[in-house]
Parts: sequence; C-alpha cells; structure tokens
Amino acid sequence: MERPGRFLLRLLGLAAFLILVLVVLSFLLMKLGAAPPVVLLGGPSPLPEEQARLVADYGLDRPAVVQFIRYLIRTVSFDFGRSWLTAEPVLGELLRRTPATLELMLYGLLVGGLIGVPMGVAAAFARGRAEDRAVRGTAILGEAMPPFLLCLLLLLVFFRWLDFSPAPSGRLSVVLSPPPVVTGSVLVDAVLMQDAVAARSAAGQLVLPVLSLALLVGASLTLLVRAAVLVQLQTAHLAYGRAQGMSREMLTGIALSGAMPAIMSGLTAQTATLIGTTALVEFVFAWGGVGQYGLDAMAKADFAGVQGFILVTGLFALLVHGLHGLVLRLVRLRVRRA
Amino acid sequence: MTARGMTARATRLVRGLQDRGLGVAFGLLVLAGFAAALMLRPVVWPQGLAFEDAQRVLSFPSLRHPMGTDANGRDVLARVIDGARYAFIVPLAALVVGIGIGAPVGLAAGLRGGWLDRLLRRLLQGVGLVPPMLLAMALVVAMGPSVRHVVVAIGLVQAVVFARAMRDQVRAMHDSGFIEGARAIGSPVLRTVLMHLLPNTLARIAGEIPRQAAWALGTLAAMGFVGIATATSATEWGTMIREGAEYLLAGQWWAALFPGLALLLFGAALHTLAASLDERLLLRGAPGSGVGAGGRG
Repeated sequence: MERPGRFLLRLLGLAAFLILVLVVLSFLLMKLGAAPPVVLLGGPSPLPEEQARLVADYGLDRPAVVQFIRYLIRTVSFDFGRSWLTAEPVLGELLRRTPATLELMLYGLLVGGLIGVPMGVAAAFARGRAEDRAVRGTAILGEAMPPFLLCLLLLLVFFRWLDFSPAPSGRLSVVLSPPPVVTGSVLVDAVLMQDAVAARSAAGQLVLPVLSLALLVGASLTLLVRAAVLVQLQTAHLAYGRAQGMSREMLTGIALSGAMPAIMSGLTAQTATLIGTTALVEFVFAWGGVGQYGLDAMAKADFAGVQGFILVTGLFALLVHGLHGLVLRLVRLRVRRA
Repeated sequence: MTARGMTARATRLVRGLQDRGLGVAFGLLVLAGFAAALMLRPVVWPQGLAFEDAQRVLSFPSLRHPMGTDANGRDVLARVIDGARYAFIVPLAALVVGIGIGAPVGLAAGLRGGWLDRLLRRLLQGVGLVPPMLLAMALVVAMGPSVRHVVVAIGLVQAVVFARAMRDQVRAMHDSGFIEGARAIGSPVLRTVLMHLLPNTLARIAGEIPRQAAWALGTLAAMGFVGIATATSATEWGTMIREGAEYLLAGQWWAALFPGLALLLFGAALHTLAASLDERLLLRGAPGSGVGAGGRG
C-alpha cells in the first residue's frame, strides 16, 4: 500500500482533473446553445447598442478559448456568474439553498435505510421463496416509479383525501414567518428559538417529502442489500454457520458486516441518481432547495443557473466519492493492522 | 470462444430467461399491450386527440370517457394511449444514438489501451459525476426544446454508459489473453474485432438495454414534467402529468393519474425485464449491472 502522503496527493490530483472536466462540461453546455445567449438576455427585441453592450460585457466577441479561460478563472475563484432572470449571483443562491437540500437528503437516507436494509436482508434469506418475490416485486415497482409521480400520489392521498398533511408549499406554512437562520434547517432553528408553532409546522411539511424520498431510496437500497447479502450467504464461513444452526440474528450481523463495503460502494455509485431524485421531490413540494432552483432554472432557460447547478451537483458527487475513497483506505489500514 | 461459444452463451441466456419466465412474460405482455392499443386507437377510439369538448371540461371518468377529460375537455384515454408513441420511440432512438457513439469509442479505447484509454476513462468518470438525468436536461435546455433534441441528449448521456461497458468488456477480454492469441495466429485486427471481440461484447451491451430504455423513459417523463422537453399539449406522459398536477391537488385526479399509471406500468415492464437479466448475471457471478446511468437518476 502506498504511503498516506502519496495517496492524498494522488486523490487531490484526480479531484483537480475531474473538477476541470466538470468546468469544461458546463462551459460546453453554454456554447451548445442553439439561440445565441445574448438574444435571450436582451429580450425579444433588444436595441442594437444594448445588444453590443451585452456582447462586450459577457466577452462573447472574443475567441472561444479566451472565453473558456475567463470562465475557468471566474469559476475557480468562486464566481459562478449571475442568474439571467434575477441577476442574483448564482453561487450565493445555491449556497443559501444547500441546507434545505441536505436536510431532505439526510432524513430521506435515514428513513430509506430503515426500510431498505431489513427488506433486503429478509429477501436475501428467503431467496426464491414467496417473501423474496414479494419484496423484489415491490422494490422493482419502486425503482420504476417516477419520483414526481410518487410525490403526487402521496399528496393526493394524504393531502387531498385524508387531509393529514399540509399543502406542498415548501418548508414552512405560508402564514408563518420563518425563524432566524442558525443551522439552515427550519425545524431545528424553530426548536432552537423555542417556537413551538413553527416547529410543528416545519415537522408537518417534512413528512411527505421525506416519505417520498425514503420510499424511493428504500427501493433501490433493498435490491442493493439483497444482492450484497446474497453474495455473503454463499461464502464458506456463513454456509458453515448456517449448517451449525447459528441464529438468524448472528447470521444477519455477520452477513451485513461482510456486505457493508459492497453496500457503501453501491450507495456511493448512486449519489448522482439520489441528487436527481431529490431535485424532483423538491420541485413538486416547492422545497426551496438546490434541486428546485436548478430545475426552475432549466424550465426558464436560465443558462447561468443551469451551469452553476450542474457544476455544484458534480462537485457534490465528487466530494462523496472522495470521502468514500478515504473511508475505504482507512478500513483497509485497520484490516492490515488487525 | 468464437461462434460456438456465442451459441452456448445465447442458449444459457435463453434458459435463464425461461427460469424467470413470469417476469419476462409480464414485461413483454405489457409492451405488446401498449403497442396493440396504439395501433387500434384510431379504429376503436375515433375521437380526435385534439378534440375539445367544451361541455365536458375535467369530467369524471364515465362510459363515454373511461379516463375522464382534461382541463381542455379532451379525452384522457385517447391521449394516454397516444403517449405510448413517445415511450416507444424516444428510448429506442436514444439507444441507437447511445450505442452508436458509445460502443465504437469504448471499443477503440479498450483495444488501444495505454494513455488514450486512461484519459478516456478519467473523462468519462468526470462526466459521470453529474447526475445523468440533470445532464440530459441541461443538454436539452442548451439545444432548445424538441423531441429530436431530447433523443440526442438522452443518447449522448447513455453513450457514456455504453462506452464504459464496452471498454471494460474489451479490457477484460484483452487481459484474458485471447485477443493476443488471435493476434499470434496472424488474425488481422478487423477480423479479430468482428469475429472474436464483438460477439463476446454483445451480451454485455444487450444486458444494459432494458435498464437504459427504462432510464430513458423516466428521463423523458421528468423533462416533460419539469416542462423543458416538448411543447405544451403534447401527449407525452410527463407533460400530461404536469398539466394535470394542479387539478390533481384540487381533487380532480384523473387527468394526471392515468398518464402516471401508464408511465409506471411501462417503466415497470422495462425494469422487470432488466431485473430478470440482472438476476441471471448475479447468479453467474458476474454482477455487471449498476453501471453509469442506471436506476432513476
């Protein structure tokens, strides 16, 4: 195994290269535009001098290479440009919305884990039998479920028919004023301010978006855990344990700990998918997170917003992959020492 | 492994499908049902798609309109059936683009190896970091909304998946030494590729197809739902769901729910086919699924 310093250096080098790829990608997205962006910026019929000012302002009269270098320098110095609709700096808008998205993702993953891990384990132990088929069928249905459709179905049942949950109006009832931002989570901030009314409202608003995300995460996690545990159950030591009549709980514990690296890798590989799913859930529930901002920007052809959004999602996935790589290495170090 | 190896592999694949006949039968039956409905619609349901019955706006499902009418008084059933056109054509056309671009690139990189292969692998890794659905959406936004651009965008994103799959498969075969063997007996490069390499990569590429088709369908619908793919009033299911969503929240659920169920059924059929293939690969000890734009994304 290579030395820690070299490992870190290699990881950082790779990260730098991948960031460059992402920046190039988001630059190309802009250059691909069918309509010259200036036309979009200036409105349907801009004055010639206004048009010329915009072209000069954005440096669009320069060669593509110069434009790219300017874009690269601006981007790595954390200037993602301004929204073409609101003229607000894109990065600031994205950062302001990050806590909302992270909160939704975190709860969704936690609840999804509570659904997916037991289901996957149960299916693996019952492989080929009716329980396995039922779990697998449900999970496949969950995988095939378009996220926005699940959100709408839950809203129809729990909001319209049962009147159990509030309207999809974001993170807090529209009649309440939000608590001052401390952590960025409206629920936690309301609790910190000891504002019981806001806290109850924020918790109610969380239920359906979190449930939607958790069911979707749970479905793919079920299949992931099932496959990983199945592989474990075929190993010699677990076959021996089974033959010796080891209890189901012990077998599960051993199989799960053995399957953990595969499950973590599978989850890491699905980071990108999770971001997309979260964005759609946010879009339906008007969650006000990064995902909703990005999809709104797409729907309104706000190119700067789209570019910034694509870049940020790629960077987030890169961060998750990097952390996963670090954890894997730490685990390997521990295994070597043991 | 040449022609005989391929036949053996094909037989194994078919037998594997028979073992899981139920899932495959369901998948194929649903797809055939949609195709039949699509062809029969003009005969059985002669009402025009665009026919607006001003007297019956958002009317509850009835004998005359089994799925009710939408906010413009159009028959939802006729529009849901017509939406299957998009569900068949867009994923298929995107697969042609994706395999057409991805497979040759992956093949070239895998065969050549060296720095070109490493560079391509890193490039694809970088592009693969961006959520595939969002990347396809951004491409459509950049090119402008139209069905053709949707096909190109989805196909380009899928080309990344196919290039990776192809490259990995070619590399694996390269490492197993039989390309070297073919070279050693003086087989020309083109012959090696056509006779030895391609047949052995086909199973891997084919194994990806149902999953990628399902992903393309979901992405198309998501584009329609967000409102970037097609013009309003298209019969694409995602677009129909978007237009019906506000009425669904008001209690008139049919205009959004029925296209949603059609989308779910079609997607479930493709996912069932994909899962049957996956289970076969898993049992064979070669879990080849879960690459790239798999799942929902």
